[in-house]
Amino acid sequence: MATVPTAMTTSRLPIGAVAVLASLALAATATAPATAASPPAAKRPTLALSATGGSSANLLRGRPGRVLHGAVTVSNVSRHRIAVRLQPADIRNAANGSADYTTTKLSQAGRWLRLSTRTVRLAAKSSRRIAYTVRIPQSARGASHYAGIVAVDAAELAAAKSPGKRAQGRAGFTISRINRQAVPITIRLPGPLTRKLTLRSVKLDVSAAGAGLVLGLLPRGTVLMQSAPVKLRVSRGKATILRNSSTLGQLFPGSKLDYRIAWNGRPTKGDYLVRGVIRPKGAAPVYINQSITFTPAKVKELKRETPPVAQVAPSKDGLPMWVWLALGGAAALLLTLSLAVWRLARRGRRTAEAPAPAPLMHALPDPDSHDQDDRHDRSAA
Amino acid sequence: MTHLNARVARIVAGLAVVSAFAVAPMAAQAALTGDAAVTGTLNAGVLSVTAPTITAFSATLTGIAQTKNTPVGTWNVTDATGSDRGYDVTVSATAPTVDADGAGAGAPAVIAGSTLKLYTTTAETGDNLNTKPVAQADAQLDVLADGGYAASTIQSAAAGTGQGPWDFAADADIAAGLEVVIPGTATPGAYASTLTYTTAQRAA
Repeated sequence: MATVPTAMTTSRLPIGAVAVLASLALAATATAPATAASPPAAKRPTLALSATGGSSANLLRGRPGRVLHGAVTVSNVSRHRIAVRLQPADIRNAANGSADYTTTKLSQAGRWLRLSTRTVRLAAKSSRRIAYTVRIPQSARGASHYAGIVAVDAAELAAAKSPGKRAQGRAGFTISRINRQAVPITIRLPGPLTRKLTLRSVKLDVSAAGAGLVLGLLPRGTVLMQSAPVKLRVSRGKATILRNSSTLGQLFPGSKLDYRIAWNGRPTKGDYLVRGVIRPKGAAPVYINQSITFTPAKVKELKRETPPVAQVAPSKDGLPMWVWLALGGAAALLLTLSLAVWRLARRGRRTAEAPAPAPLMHALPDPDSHDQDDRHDRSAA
Repeated sequence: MTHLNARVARIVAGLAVVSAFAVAPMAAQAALTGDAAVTGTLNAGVLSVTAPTITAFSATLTGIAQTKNTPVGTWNVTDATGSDRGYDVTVSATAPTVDADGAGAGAPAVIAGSTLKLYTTTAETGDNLNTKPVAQADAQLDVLADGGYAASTIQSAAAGTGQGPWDFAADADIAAGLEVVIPGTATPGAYASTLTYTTAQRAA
């Protein structure tokens, strides 16, 4: 009888070990695809662009009708010869603030810029100074105007412009990327410096990526605002649906922006109350207290445009959600196996501690027992 | 007496020679630090960004809108200008175009109703003890009326922050990286889009 617990002990180790190994294997297989899917390292930058004479040279002062002069330095930071394409740009506000350099359909101060050359060919590790002029129109008003010069490696641009050739013969989705360098130029005219931010609209917008609260903003005045912290809350009845605390980057006057705040999940039809405040630096705060309606038509539109399966919330700081789910499953399996082992061991221990068999066993010897056989053998011998 | 004087003279001479060996390095050091001023020029470095590689992918059309996430590789931004002006990294994109015949012939058509979303990541600190640039909210790049996408700022360094090199890890999460919503009306073919990473110092 005493051999039973021993047998249990020897079988407990393999079960536990198997469970641990199983969980480790699950964890290993869970993490392997994530690392295997990592794309190759990025290419080093080939060029750099800076204002000649230091960053303070980005600020030019003048009067309407005058021509101002400046220069930028284009550098080849690679070990091979490159051609750099230079373009004048307007500065607009990016969707969440800061400069968005646009080089097509110039309509603002970008039109005032004239570069001495549009293409620069540079030997490895060499630089060149490129002069530019700013012709301020007689009609210019307002104290500050913003333009920019952007530089792109012509080879990168050419590669990105011929995706058809690269994708030839294979269906799929190819994403090219371009490194672009920009230098902002501030043109300061005489006049007072004022800052103002106007809230144009508050909407609950629908796009293929999901719903979002969109704040329509218009920075005004005669000089940019350095930043604008935003704090708001969306509620429905007493329930808070969305909280947001974020900061808009530099805001350039005269350029609208639609600041989109992602909505968690899918909104249902009905009214929502948006309350909050935007505090642009150097300007008066903008208070938000507005009711918005998500109509049944918008609900339908959202359902039609967005994928049917809701996306799992991304885990930004650690492993993906599905890895955690796999690890959780492995842990549950290990716990179940440990419980089973413990219960079996407990049952075996109870059996071992049970009273000895009745003395009747000794009183009535088994005629088939080995002891008896041995005795017979010995007596025979 | 003469004999004694000669011995004293020899000892004094010996001490003088030993002292000369001790003084020589000090004199040389003095010549380096005291007599000649150390001069040099510190040249400004550059502000640069290394845009990440984004993995190409393929999908089977289902007739309804679907989402695909593709990994975004490591990338880096370096501010070696010494200006402390701060900077921003913005991302813009061209609307995906499809080459329906797959042979690269003909003008590619813009696909309406698709969106790109670039999940932002936080700069790794490493050995850089400066204040890191601030990761902005995930960049939602919606199609504009003219076919392009509105640019979105993904990293911001206010004045006096973000100096030096900053690395950003690859983002290969299944629900992160670059998210592409493919509309249900999309047609089969080879799609292409370009993401432009722009780095610039902040305007004055």
